Amino acid sequence: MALQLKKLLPVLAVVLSMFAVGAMAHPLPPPAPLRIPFLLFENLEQYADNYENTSVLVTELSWMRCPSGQLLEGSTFLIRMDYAEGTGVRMLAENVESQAGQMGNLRLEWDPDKQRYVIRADNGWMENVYAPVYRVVLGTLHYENLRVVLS
Amino acid sequence: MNWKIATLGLGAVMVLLTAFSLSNVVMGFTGGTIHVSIPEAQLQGVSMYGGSYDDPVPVVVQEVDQLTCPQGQVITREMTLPGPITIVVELSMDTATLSNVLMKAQNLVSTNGTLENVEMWVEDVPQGLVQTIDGGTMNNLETDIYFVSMASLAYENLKIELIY
Repeated sequence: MALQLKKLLPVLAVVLSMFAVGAMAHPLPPPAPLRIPFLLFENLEQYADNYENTSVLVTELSWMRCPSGQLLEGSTFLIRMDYAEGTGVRMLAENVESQAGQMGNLRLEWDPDKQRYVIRADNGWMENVYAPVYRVVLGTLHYENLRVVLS
Repeated sequence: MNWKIATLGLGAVMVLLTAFSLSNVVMGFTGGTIHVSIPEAQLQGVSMYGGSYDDPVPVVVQEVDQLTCPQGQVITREMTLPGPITIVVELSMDTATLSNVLMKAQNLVSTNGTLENVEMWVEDVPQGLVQTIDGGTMNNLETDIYFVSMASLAYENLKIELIY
């Protein structure tokens, strides 16, 4: 009986350690889908980064305008606006999709400070943008017809 | 003996009738939402996140360090009294300044505005989405709330009216 218990101990240790690792590595909540029918921007910068142990795509814009508004679908409530204009935008997304677009002076270059490749564009527009976001930061935001409603 | 039973029975009926009547009155005052209308809302220190009120009613929780309404605010509540009679209680003030406000809302709309240092991120339910705003102005702000509390309220020209 004691021998059988001894044999079981390593298995038990492995199972317990898996539980401990699972408890420590708290996964991020699911991202909130952000939908923008049309986006105008200036000074785009895009690069991969790590956010709370999750790989994310960082998008920074010095200026943006959403003439047809935008919709952010949180798990508890939705934020919708018919028009939005913002400065100092920083968005951490799982990925970014767009149906069509145009970028002026686009380049992919090595950033020695960030120690990674960065996509940069001076200006442009993107149509039907879809980005599941973990975090969004705006220096200023001007909006029209804002609605916050329960999901 | 029979008259004692009859008296007890009548008493019980009276108690039940009174209870039903009172609950009807009380039900007119609780439940549903209160509509708040603010032509210009100047906000400082805002956080917004998902939550619940009188579990399990889902709400949008809003905490505001300071809310200034230079053009005042109008608070309306529709109530049904026994009868039934539907009345609207309207509280209006020409200017208002509120501090440490906690609101549990069903929704929120605003025609336009400008916000500074907006930050949004995802959290686990019940918060879900969290939004913080350092400050800003929201015009024609309309919200339906279940609950509100505040540390202080300063106002000018408060009026409370009953509209039938």
